[in-house]
Amino acid sequence: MSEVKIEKLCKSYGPVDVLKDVDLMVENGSFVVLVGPSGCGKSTLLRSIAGLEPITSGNINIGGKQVNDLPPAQREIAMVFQSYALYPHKNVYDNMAFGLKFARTPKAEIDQRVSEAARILQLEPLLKRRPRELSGGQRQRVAIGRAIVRKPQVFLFDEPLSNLDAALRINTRVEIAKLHKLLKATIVYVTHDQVEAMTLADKIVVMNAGRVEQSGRPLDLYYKPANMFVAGFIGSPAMNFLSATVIKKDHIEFGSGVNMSVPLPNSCKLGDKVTLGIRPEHIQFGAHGKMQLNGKVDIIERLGEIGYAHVALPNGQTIVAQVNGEPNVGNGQAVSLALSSKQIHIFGEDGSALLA
Amino acid sequence: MNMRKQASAFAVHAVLLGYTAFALAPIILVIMNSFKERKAIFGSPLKPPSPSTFSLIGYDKVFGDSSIASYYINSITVTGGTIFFTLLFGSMAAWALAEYKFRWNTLLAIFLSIGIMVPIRLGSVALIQLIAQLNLINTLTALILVYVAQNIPLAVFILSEFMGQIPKDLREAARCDGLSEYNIFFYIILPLLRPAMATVAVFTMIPVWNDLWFPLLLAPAGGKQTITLGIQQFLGQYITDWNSVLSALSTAIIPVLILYVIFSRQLIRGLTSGAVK
Repeated sequence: MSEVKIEKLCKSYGPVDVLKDVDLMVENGSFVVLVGPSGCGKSTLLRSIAGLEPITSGNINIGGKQVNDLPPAQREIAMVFQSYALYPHKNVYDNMAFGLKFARTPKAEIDQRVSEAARILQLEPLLKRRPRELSGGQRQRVAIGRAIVRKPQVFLFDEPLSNLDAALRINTRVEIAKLHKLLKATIVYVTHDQVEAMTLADKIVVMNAGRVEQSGRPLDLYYKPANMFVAGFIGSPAMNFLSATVIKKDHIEFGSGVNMSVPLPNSCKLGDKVTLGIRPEHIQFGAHGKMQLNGKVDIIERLGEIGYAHVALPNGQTIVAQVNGEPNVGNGQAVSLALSSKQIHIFGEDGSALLA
Repeated sequence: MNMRKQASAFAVHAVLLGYTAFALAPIILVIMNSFKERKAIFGSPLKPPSPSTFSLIGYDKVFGDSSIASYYINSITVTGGTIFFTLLFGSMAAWALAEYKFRWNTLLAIFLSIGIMVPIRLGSVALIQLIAQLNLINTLTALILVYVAQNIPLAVFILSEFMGQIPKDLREAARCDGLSEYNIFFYIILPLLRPAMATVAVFTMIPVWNDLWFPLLLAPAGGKQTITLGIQQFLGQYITDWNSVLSALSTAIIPVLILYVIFSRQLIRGLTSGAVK
């Protein structure tokens, strides 16, 4: 039983509300990723769970126990910091054993726990080294080791990969996923990188401006974003948004005579402003299907197997479409884009999704 | 280009060497003459001791005089005590000012920094009255109290600057590890502050060791004189025992030198590297 349950959590610094009525449920053994742009309150939420940040109102329960007023050490959490925060004057062993020593754990048990963590994280040859003698990835593993030895109910990760270089980041990401499987640990993980969120999470919580925009399984968020913010945040490259007006039933116009028929919910009235969202990977080249747009290729970014074509529409809007190795698409070329009807999203004026 | 670099390096070294010679000359003169006979000190003060003028009479007298030994102990006690309490209270105050936000935080910091600007000797009369009322005249406690008060403002100032450089994550990691605030201070902050503490120790130690003012005012008798004051007994109104004065001064350099060597090693060692990326 090591679930985290947060109800109506509010946090303000003076007049500034950083977290507004946040509800969050982290089930036992699940990997929950808090994701959002910088300043959205995700780190503050994590630090509130850790007890490093006093909360203004609401409830935090860890393992069925209310921990609102408990200091970090009594919450049975372990936190991995972005900067690793290793004790520079202590070697790897002591860094991991330090907290246990203060908890008056017997020496033999400390030894056993540290060596187990070192084995899992392949730190055994490094136990006598100081942090400054370690590489970034090794420091990261020590920081994780320091969390493991405490056998916490919940692991809290605060952007643990953002100080690593790109190759190491992918490696460590896989390591963390393996670790989660191995330890069956409950993890709350903060990142601003939606790829990390998609690959690691059992559940993603997208935050914006102190609120939870949507939470759910990664693919649910990908296929059924609740609003434009989530739709734009999840997925890379980002979803295309085209603003449009309803001109007749199931028909919208993007301006300058560019129009298209789309299935619209019955609630849409003539003259309503809507936004059509379509992911680059759900656009095909060529004239097939009902939903078509014509434009001219501005520029193509080729990544190898796939590429991204930036297509200028006659009304001045630009749409990004994925090119699956089609050799016949080139710069300056006039193309037809077919939008897959199952994959389009319609958002209302307030940004919320209209098609379920 | 290389020539110019060499020339500028030479110029820098020439200036530094010149200054070193200038600073060391009096000390060398003192040490040199402490090994000479009284006649030779006056006859040819700038000559190094030769076999005919060499004499250890000054050292004989200084080491033979039991009170001199106790003056040494007094000086070491006062300097050591001052360093210890200045560092302890100074770092605790700096930690509180740097880490905790409370109502009078800024005001307290300003109050302490006034202590750097106003020389404590302006308050000598009031200090004598206070120490007399506390019945602490002619005690080493009086000296330590006054010196700690004198040195704490600068110590707090320097140490809180260094504390600001210790990453916040480190303290929070320690909090997650279950350390109390005191333990965070003693087990995390203090070890990382060693270079800063060494700086403060050196700044504190030398003026305290060399001070004549407060020993003269607060502990001039009762066997509680410090070495700088104790040496004055060789300086008479009509006759001055230069052999003893010079020997005592020469030996007085040694303890500060040892302390300086200890602290300066810490100064060089940057310990915070590797804490965070």
